Amino acid sequence: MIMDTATAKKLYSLSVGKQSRLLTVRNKIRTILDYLEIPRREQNRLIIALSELMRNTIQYATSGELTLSVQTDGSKPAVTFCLSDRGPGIPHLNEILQGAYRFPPGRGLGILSAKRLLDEFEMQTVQGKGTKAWGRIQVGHLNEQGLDEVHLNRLHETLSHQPDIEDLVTSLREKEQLIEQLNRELSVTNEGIIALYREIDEKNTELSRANQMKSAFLANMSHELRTPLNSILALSQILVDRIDGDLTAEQEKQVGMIQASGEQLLNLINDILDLSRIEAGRVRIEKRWTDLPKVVEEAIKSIEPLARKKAIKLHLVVSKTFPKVYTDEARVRQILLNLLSNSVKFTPSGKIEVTLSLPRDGDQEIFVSVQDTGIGIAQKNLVYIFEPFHQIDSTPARKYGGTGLGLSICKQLVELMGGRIWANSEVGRGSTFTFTLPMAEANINTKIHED
Amino acid sequence: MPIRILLVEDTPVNMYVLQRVLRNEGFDVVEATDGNEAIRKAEKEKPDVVLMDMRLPDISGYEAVTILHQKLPTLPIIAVTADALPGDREWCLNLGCIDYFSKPIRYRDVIQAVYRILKRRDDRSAINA
Repeated sequence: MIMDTATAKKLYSLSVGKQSRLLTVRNKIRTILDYLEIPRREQNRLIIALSELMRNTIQYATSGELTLSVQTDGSKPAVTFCLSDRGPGIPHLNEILQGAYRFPPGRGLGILSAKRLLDEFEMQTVQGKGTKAWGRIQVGHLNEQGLDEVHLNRLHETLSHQPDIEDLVTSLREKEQLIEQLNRELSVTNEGIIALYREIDEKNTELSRANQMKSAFLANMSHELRTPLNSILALSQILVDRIDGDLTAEQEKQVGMIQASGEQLLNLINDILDLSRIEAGRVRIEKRWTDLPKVVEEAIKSIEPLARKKAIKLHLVVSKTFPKVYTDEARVRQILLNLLSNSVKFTPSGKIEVTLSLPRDGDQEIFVSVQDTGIGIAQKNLVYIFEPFHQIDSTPARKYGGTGLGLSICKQLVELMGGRIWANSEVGRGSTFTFTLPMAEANINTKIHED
Repeated sequence: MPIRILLVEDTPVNMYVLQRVLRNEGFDVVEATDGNEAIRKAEKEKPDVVLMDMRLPDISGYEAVTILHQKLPTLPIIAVTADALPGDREWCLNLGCIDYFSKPIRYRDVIQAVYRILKRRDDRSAINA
């Protein structure tokens, strides 16, 4: 018996378990053999033989125990091993060892090749008790210094710290799977995002097509309304100009009514187009440094002929040193004209006052208000007046004319410039419409500057 | 010799109104109801000014203006159109129209424009003569 040799020195014991751990066991054996400086050729022979036998152990007994030892007393040093298990035993082992077992094909070939690779080999099996294998391989060189206790302890230390390769591989594989899964999820997410973008693009295209259609519709509507309106107004003018003969006083009055109705229709067309363009986002705000009092004065001047007919007085209230304001002059003028003509319309007599006020402390808005002494608006109606076509019940609308879109346009324009608009009123005493214009950064910093 | 106007207009009532006020003004009016007729008559009738509707049944007024400009570069064309949205004026002037009126027009303004344009032309030829 090889193991009976008294000079055999035990190197290391380890358990042989799952198939997946064979690599770690092989690696530990390799480390031990390297440590003893055993030549690679002999290392390989031993390791291949042990691999076959361990696979066998796992197959028949699921687990076993491996002990590695060295013999240094012979003419040549040798490495020996003992591999044992408590499995059910290997049937037909003797026939296998003699190379006589043929069925099923391939069974026992591992044991035979192990036997061939080793210098000495013995194997015993007891049915129901277990199997033992002994082997010996002579080595050309062995560093005997490594065999003292200190060195062997260090070796054991090293081996116990040697990372479990299978664990690493498993953990790597798990990580790899995780990454793969993440990649898959990412690619699904990406596809979703791409689909979303495609959808947005399609929606955008649809939207801009709808917008274009709306624009084309508005342009055509405008054109088709203006064409007959041109006939109506020009024909009325022909009559008024008496190109084809005189009119009676009554006829002249009638033609005047035709003209007024035509003008009203034209205003309506213009207002509808304005509102549609604002709502479609086609109105650009172009801000410049603006002399606000001058804009108000001009607006007052252009509304004055209307006011004079009703003996309404127009005033501007403003401090002498009003700063330039960074705003859209044309839009402010449009709003002012709208508010002023509204006030004139609903004021039988009295006065209309436009007030420009600078921000009080903490405010960052300029206040523009148009106050009249007109018929006023009932409290319950104040919320509706900025809605399109919501001129307060039908009576005043009929009586005072107008499209009912003016205040709606004002509100849209004010908000487009970043301001607010509201109205206060008392029936029979008058109304005050106020809108704000945001102060530009420069305005706030310099507060009030020259001219 | 009276001032000769080529009036291009496809809506019968508008044609009636405009020719009525132009003739009343003492102008000689040649009528055309589409773009091709306008080009033909511009070459044949030698008008002093063209009043051009921009939406016509065959070729558009815009095309007609371009063609007329190539054939008769000195012929002044005034756009009289119901295209009255922002940008339409600039569009017509860029095309080479000398002036632009949106419908509904005040016809006295159009008549004034005719006089103004012809006076400018006459002033220039007086200097050149």
